[in-house]
Amino acid sequence: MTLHQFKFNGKAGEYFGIWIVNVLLTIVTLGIYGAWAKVRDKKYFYGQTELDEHRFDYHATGMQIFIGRLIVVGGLLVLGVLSAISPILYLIGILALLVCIPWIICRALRFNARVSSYRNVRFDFTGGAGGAFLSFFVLPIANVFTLYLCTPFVSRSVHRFVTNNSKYGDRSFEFDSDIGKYYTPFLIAIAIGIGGFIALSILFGGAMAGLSGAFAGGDVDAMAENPAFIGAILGLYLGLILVVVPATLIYQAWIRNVLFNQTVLDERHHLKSNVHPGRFIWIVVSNTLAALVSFGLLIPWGRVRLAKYMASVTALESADSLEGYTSSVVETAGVVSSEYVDMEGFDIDVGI
Amino acid sequence: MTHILNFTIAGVFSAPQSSLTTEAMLHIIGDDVKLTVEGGQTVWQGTLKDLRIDPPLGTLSRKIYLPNSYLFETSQNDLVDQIKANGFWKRLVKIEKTGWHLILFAIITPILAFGLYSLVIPLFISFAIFMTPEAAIRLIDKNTIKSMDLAFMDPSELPPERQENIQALFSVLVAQAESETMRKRRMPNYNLLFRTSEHMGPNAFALPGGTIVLTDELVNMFPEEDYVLNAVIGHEIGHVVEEHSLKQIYRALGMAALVSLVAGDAGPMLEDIVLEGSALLSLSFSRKHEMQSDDYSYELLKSSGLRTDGLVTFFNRINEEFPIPEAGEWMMTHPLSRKRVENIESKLEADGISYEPVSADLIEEDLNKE
Repeated sequence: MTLHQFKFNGKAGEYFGIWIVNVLLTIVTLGIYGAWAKVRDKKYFYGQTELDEHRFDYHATGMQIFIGRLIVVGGLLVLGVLSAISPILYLIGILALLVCIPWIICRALRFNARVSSYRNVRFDFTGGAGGAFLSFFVLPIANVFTLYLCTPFVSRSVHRFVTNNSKYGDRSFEFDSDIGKYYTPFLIAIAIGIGGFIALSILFGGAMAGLSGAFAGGDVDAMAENPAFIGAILGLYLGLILVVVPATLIYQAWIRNVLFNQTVLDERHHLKSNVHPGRFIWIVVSNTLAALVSFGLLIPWGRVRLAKYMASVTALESADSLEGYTSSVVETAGVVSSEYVDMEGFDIDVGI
Repeated sequence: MTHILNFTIAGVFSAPQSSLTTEAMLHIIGDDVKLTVEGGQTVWQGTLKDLRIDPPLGTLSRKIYLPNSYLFETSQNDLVDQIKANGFWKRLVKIEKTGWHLILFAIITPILAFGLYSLVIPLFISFAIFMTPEAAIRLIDKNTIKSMDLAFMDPSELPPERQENIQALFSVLVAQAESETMRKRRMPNYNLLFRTSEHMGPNAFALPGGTIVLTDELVNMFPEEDYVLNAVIGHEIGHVVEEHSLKQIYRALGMAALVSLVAGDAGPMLEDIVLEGSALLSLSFSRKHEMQSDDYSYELLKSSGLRTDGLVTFFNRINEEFPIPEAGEWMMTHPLSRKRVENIESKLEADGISYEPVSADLIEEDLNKE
């Protein structure tokens, strides 16, 4: 068994130049260059990701992305015009779009897989709309009615759908996991959330309780103008961010480990992931703060830092050499769907 | 061509969709290109036109695609750059290289981004409003009322005489408003409706097409004071004339597009924060609109020759019966009542009109109770 470590070779300084020129040209061209900017960005991150002395590559062209975006904008304009002409036609349009979304998700996943390669061999995605409908529609909606307590089932379903339908060349990925592995991080994240909330109530609750006497007397104006009360409210709001964000990040970090550690390529190459939740939170939170205080100028540094960390905790364990895989994938269709998903902000990234 | 190309690039070669690589050399002599592998055996022969060279990107190794998706990859980037005359990407990669000019970019980019926000967004809003067909605006009014009736509004229980009485006030104000906005391209279709609702309390709102709704609860709070109702109606007409709801709809759309374009892939957490920030910004926009409508109402009442202190009475009465927190403005759609009262009071004072300054007494009383 050999352990091949992923490596990210990008440099913050080098990426800063690419990033700032991307943003500048995107602004100057009123967004048109954005399509080409996206390709340069992705190509840089893929190209600097190394496994067994070989790099990944991203093959979509700026023009493909641009046409995809044009079609999305055109489609939304048509919907807008329909809404003005006839509410019934508009309703039909919206319904048709809803029906199409699982199909669009599949096309987007397929496009993104097919424009990604490692060692000149492309990835592919073969999932169908039925599976997408189950994982991205039925289960998330059902989850709401269980007060989100079934979130681990939704996560596993998405992981199964995306991974088991993914291919590297003509070789398949396989993933499965018992649900316990998902519930452990979920329950820990919830425990941290509740613990943090109790700590917050003790910290700021005192100030609130002291002031609620005034509230009971109906003297709202006096209470509302009291700076201590405003401070307590602000503290509570900030505190919620400080509790909810870490809890979410912990869950994300852990289930990424579950996903990778249970994924096998071609029955012989085992993916490994060992994200440390504390370290992950530290990187994400400090990146965010750095970006905020630098008016966004430290975003490239943060992205390179995160990519370096994620690569450093990812590996591929294989019984034999990685050489010799062939691919049967050549065509690249589906760019339209990919851009639709991008613009509508669907989160279907399962991430490397 | 100024000089004849003549050089050899060392790299690796792989067959289409094959991960197997072989050490290879790409020989370029003039327009002719030849690919050889170890031992000097020629694998492929053609011209420069057959090559598709991937644009350069940082220090990443360069990829050259031969016909039929054969791939040649090399880290001798300088040599690859000599193959073709200066193109867009070659110039771009030079600009992207670390250097002092990047500091200049770092300074002008936020300025341009702010310019885009403060110039292009309002332009986009004006253009979108101009393009919105009148039929669509009418439809928004009709459908909003329809769905609100379905969801939580009930028919008014005000006696018909009272309704007629207020409709009369309404038509006076509308006539004045229309005479002042004759030049506008689009004339709103003003229409006053009465509704009651358990969930809305004393309330009034305006839709973009000119539909204005008053709740029974609001009307009943001022059984005798028609001048207060005049002020409230004037405020709502202000929202219609200034096209506030359309502006807010299009602003939300424009901001979403701008944020996704510029900060699109900012990373986890940061994206959420940026979106929260733009939501807070849109609230400040909404507060600005409320103040504008207050101003409009004051001017409309003044030009109609009506009593102008209605809003002062309105806020004092509302605050007596429904005390609302007077802090945390940044998270509200409406400005603090105190600020709105002060705004109207300063106008009244400027015009030398006397009014009942109840608000100051009320606040003092509250403080004395402490």
